[in-house]
Amino acid sequence: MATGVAAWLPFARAAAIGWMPVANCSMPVAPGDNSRKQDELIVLNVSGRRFQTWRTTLDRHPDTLLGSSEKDFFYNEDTKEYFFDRDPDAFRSILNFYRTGKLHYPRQECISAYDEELTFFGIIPEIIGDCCYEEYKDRKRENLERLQDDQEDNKDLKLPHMNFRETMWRAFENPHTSTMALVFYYVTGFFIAISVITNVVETVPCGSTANQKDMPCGERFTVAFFCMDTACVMIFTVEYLMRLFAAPSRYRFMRSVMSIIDVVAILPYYIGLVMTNNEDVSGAFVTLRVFRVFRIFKFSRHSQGLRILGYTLKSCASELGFLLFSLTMAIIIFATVMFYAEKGSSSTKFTSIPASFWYTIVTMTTLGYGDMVPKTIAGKIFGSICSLSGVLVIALPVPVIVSNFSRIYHQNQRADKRRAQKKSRMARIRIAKSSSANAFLHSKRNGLIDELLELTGTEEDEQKLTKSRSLLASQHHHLLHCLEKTTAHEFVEEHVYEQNCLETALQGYPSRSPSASSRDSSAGSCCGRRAKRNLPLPSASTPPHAHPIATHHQGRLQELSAIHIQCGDRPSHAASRSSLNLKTNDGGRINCKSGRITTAIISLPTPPALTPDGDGLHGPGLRRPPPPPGPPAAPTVQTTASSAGANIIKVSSL
Amino acid sequence: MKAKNRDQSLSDSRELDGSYDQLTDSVEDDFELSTVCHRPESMDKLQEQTKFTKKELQVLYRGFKNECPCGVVNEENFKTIYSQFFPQGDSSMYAHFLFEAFDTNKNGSVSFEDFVFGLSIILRGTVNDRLNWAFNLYDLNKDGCITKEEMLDIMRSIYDMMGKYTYPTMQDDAPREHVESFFQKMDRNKDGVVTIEEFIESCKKDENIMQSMQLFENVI
Repeated sequence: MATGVAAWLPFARAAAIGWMPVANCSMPVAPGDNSRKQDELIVLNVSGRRFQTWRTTLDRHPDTLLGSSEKDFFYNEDTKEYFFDRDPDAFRSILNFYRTGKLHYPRQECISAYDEELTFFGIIPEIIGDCCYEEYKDRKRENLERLQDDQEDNKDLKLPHMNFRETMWRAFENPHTSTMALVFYYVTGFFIAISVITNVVETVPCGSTANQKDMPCGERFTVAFFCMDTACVMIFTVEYLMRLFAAPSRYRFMRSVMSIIDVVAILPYYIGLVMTNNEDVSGAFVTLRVFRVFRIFKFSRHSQGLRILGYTLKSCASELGFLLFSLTMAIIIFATVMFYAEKGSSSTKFTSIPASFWYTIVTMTTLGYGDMVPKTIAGKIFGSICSLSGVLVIALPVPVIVSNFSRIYHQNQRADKRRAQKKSRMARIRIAKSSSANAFLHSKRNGLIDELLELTGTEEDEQKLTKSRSLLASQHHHLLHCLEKTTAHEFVEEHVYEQNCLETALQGYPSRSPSASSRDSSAGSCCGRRAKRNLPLPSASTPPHAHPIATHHQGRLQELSAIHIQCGDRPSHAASRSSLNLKTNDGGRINCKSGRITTAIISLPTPPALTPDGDGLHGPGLRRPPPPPGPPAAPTVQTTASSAGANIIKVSSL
Repeated sequence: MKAKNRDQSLSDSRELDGSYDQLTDSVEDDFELSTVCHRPESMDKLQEQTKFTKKELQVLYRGFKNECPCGVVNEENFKTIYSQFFPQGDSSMYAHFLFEAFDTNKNGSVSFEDFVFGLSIILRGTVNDRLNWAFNLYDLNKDGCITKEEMLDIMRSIYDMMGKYTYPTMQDDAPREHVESFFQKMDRNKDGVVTIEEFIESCKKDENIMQSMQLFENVI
């Protein structure tokens, strides 16, 4: 429960008046407010600065230092105040947490100092309010990174033993992990550079030799260049095959861009090897050499910047497309105009509209080669308009692209951050909700154990187990308990609910056998009646007495009793004892046997008078052999149940 | 002189104000979030009108003002506050009915007086008072009798508070069955509605209900 609204608990309890007339059973007894003392002011002396607040304000959070009895350790008898030797500035936010229910993080505080204060006062940082949570998390992360940087020297490879393939893949992806990987990385880089330079130098004229004309170096030193090429391609092939071997998902690796570049880089060589025999296609072979230039793209594995550039181009594709489209429009318009303007003049270079495209592009990008110039006056006018508009058309989308790029870049960063925070924030909210729900179920369980010990255990055991639960929490749980009684359903945890669903699905059909007799039962056996209809019995055909309970519980007694323990109510003894004496009719008994498996388990060794109360009786006798039944009706039950014989014994021995 | 309506005067002021840019400004009005601040009557008067002591009123008001600094609760706040006590289910419908019951002057907000009057009846009133108040809660249209539909709405809202994870699993017709049994118990003359007399009479006869009413003795 959000203890910020603890002050409204009396209202919530008063609002429960709406449930009373519709409830068919009686409500559990409310927890007594033993401490009838008045609300008093508490003085908290934090390093000399005195804070004062009501005791009830601090009691709102009983699981913290100030809300629990832990603060008694700091009580100063002489001055009648609680003294803490801590930072008074940080204490302000902590005390405000009690007052308002929201924990704020003051920005001028150091993150580690603040964390220490929170830990000292027993407050978990996750409940920091949404307004300050992002700031807190950012500072915390920065701090963590700083600590990690300090420790990075110590951080050695203490990874689990990976197999050879995984090690290799890791070496390929992160060259800094081992020296071998680093060597490999540099060697491949070197050879890429060599290969690219070779391709370039190949075409440089090497100076004249005995032959007449200048030959490019490639033709002069064919063998040398061929050897160099072979060596590079060898290295590349080996590298590609090794990557292919080490890749965790070969199919995905083969589809990736980098591997395609690798393939395209080495393929021309092999094709060339195959095709040297065939003279006809040697022309095509020459053009294949062009693809060798793709080797330069292999550098993108070595350069982070290239990869980022590639990604941003991909992400700005729409803007680039728009730029291209608008340019094309302008080019077509102006080319058409220039063509028709220059049509008149003789020996004009503007032979067709496509021929005018070249002029338009050169003019619009303000290149102005001068190989095509308009000669007519109209042509010159339109030509100047073209060059002026060219500046505009090109200048306009470029800043858009640039700003787009920067926006996308920052957005990406922010989106990731926000997504990470959203997940953790949702998780926090879910945890808070489930913890408050589970608190109730926990207390029910503890109440169950209390019940057992009260019956069979000693006083010390009981006291040991009874935690000092705050009055607030017990009142809240009483409220939830009343709601359970009103609706005749119980709160369960999610996984138990799933378990039940699974079981009912396995059972198949719901049973209605005991339903008939239960209809006439009095209002007192409300809970049993309602519950019965919802719970299918596997052995619906067997007569409704002791048998079905024992039989269908054979295999699953363990888990059913486990389920029961989880769902057990926190019974109020007074209520159960009184209702014990109320009902004795058999109709009610049948009722609840089918309805509440738990009572069924209990009912066998205990008198039938107990059974009709679906709500009255849960704890006793479940975990240990129940005490010998007091009421005299006990023997009758034993006899009727004796037909189940061994089954009952099994049940009771549970 | 004709009184200009607010929009007209607004647009006039905008035109005069040179800083108003037609293109970029939205047509939203100025911030009219008049935070209604409500102060309750004096403690002495409240003490006369309710059955709480001064100390109890102090505690109640401190809690009230903490959650609603402006002095009144509107329905949204009310629902939020109430839902924090029932984390597993959906308590909004029941909170709505409660709000209707507390808001006696039907002005859409519950002030501290409404709050304390209601609590005084529930926590410090006689059994008759309490039953009256409960009847008032159930009677949604305040016509003096509870019909099956009204009761069904109330019942459904109560069952909604349980949420999904219950044992046994919540069936869809559970509220309806409960309503049937309720009417069976309460409706004496079987005319399909429960009047206030029938309600009080039947409740007084039911031991469970009487016993539950004692619970409210020591809530505060």
